[in-house]
Amino acid sequence: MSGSSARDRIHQAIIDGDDKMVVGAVEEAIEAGVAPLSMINEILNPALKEVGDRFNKGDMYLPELILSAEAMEVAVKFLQPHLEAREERIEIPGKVAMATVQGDIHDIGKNIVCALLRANGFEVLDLGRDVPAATIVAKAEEFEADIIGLSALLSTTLPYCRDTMELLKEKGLEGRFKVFIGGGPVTPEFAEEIGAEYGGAHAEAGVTRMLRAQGRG
Amino acid sequence: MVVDLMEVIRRTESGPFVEERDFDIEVIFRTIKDLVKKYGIEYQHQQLITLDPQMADAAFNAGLELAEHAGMYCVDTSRVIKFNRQELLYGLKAAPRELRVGFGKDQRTLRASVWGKLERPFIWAGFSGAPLSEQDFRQSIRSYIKEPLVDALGHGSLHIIDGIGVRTGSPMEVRATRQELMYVNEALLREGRPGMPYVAAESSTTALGDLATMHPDFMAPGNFHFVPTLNELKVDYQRLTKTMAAYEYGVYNINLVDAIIGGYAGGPEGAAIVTIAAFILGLIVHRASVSLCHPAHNKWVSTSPPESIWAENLVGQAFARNSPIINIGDVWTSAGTGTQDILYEIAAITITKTLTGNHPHGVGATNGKFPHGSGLDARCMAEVAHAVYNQQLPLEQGNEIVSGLVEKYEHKFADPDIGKPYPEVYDVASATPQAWWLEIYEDFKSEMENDFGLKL
Ligand code: B12
Repeated sequence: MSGSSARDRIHQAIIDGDDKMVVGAVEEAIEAGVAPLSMINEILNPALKEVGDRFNKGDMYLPELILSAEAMEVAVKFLQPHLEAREERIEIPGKVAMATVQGDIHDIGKNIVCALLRANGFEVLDLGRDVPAATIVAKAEEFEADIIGLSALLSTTLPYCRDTMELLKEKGLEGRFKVFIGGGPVTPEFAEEIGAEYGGAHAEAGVTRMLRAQGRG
Repeated sequence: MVVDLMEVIRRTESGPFVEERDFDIEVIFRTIKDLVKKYGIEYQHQQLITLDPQMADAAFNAGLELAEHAGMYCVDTSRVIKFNRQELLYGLKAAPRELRVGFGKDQRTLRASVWGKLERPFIWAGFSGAPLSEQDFRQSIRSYIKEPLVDALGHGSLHIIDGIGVRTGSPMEVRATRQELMYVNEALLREGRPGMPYVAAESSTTALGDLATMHPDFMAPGNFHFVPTLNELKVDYQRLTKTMAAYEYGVYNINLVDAIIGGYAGGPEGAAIVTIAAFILGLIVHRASVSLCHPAHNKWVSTSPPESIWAENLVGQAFARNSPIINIGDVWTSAGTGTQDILYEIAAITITKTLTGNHPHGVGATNGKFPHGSGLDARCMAEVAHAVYNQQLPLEQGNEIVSGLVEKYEHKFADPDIGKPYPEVYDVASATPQAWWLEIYEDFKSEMENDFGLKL
């Protein structure tokens, strides 16, 4: 069937981050009778995972990771009505609200974590850089996040991570979210001191820890 | 004429509107990918110091083309500050080639490097950028100023004052930056080098700290501060405010460019091209007198991984051959002070920088993560740089030494030897290295001479 060549093309489109090609190939596969959920689980997810793994090895770069995740989003959006028609739902490991904290404009690390989380199936809300604690908490609630990810690269923005933890406590939301923190000056000791989880030295470690926290991997 | 600063501001308001995501991906990433191909630029692990001058010329042309095509993106207005080629070339032509800095016996000349002419390196030393306590700052700063080969100072920042944590953008940023300058001035006087030029206000993370110190009681005119280019080819109002304030007050701007290897520019080739473009644009947007090269590996951060060394080598040679401007380069290590590994990392980076036209600036031990830096790190950097100059080391031989050194540490990035805090490697009262640390350094010097033919 043309399903197998469509399968290759979907895979390639995700690797190439080609959102036009991916829609064409997905459409073709649907027409060939491939079930939407198995397309996601057996073709799209593994392709995106491959991109993430290649990034971790240094063979692919951040923009390629972003483009692949964007192509994935387009494909899933296209498949959504097909899933709904069959009353099927995509299983995701969890929802993460990510932010670079107030005062900090170092956002490359956070962007990498966001992209790699998406590559591993997480739904991610990227709140951007220089984000105050109150905004982070409000948006995480609204998004119904499982995890809040905080990124801080300056010793002088670490206090804003503490603020976020305090605010969660004050609002009685402690335990509602798992909070991971990462970035240059963050140490496991500091994370423990403020009651957060240490995210690890790089995005790969961070994603592994978050997967584990969600009972995966 | 160089496009003036008011015109730059005007263009932040009138330039084309672009979504930030599109600037990052469609403009930066895609353009650079094409330029790498078009100009045939290729990272070579076997040649961390590029021996083919045409590659450096190609990189320069690619960087210039990128600067013209992309421009610099203003985050606060989502508009692109664009320049035509003539404006960019004029910016290059008008850039300073020589600065007389400092005063009295401590006065020095900082020069643009010209390809094929290895001149005396300018040693810019300190535990640059590292966040320190007041006590660590006051104690460790002396160890760098004491080093006789050091020409200029660039020490750390303060993250806690009187027991209160310093928060970016809070009143404590003003306090921290002023206190930092008080300690810098005190230390220079105390060590008898009052006229030593410095880069300071490193505790300034927004424009607040810079503004607070632009008074002769704190930072005297004629010194330096940093204005970072945001990744990649971006600027914002805070950075432009720093530029404006310093430009009018008379402090020199250093354009701090940390291209991320594996980030929006792609691999080491892209990081080199985007750094070249950022330097060219920074001459106009940041009114930069000095440009600072720091290609940071996305996983290992320091400037010692081979990809990073190669990228800075190419940037240095590109300018030295095509349009000399004053470039300095960060010597940032994964290892910390008091270890053998930090010396290997320092040597590999410094040899490359000295040979390829970037004056060494550092040492940022452990990338500033731990307060594990000392003056002996800077001594190593200075003596290596001077040895390269004294021996007029040929590029080929430099390349061999650098490869040999990289082999010694490149497998250790995931778990570097972070060494020890300053008070454990130095006698604090006299600001001199502990005997055991000095011994490690002496062994390293013998090794450099016996195994690599570089006599420190
Ligand atoms: C690139 C860089 C910049 C760029 C940032 C551009 C950008 N858009 O991000 C520019 C040039 C703009 C910049 C500016 C400044 N910088 Co800076 N910068 C760096 C540098 C060299 C690398 C950071 C980086 O991007 N690394 C690559 C990324 C991929 O790694 P990462 O951010 O660490 O993220 C990874 C992991 O940490 C982890 N991670 C990160 N966050 C999270 C979150 C979670 C939840 C998880 C799980 C994981 C995780 O995963 C990421 C991907 O692998 C660091 C050096 C260092 N030691 O980190 C200095 C550094 C952070 N900067 C520093 C300073 C001082 C500044 C300035 C104040 C300089 C100045 N005088 O103006 C300004 C700050 C302005 C501000 N208000 O924020 C200091 C901070 C010292 C300190 N501890 O306080 C450092 C440490 C360098 C130094 N020693 O001087 N900088």
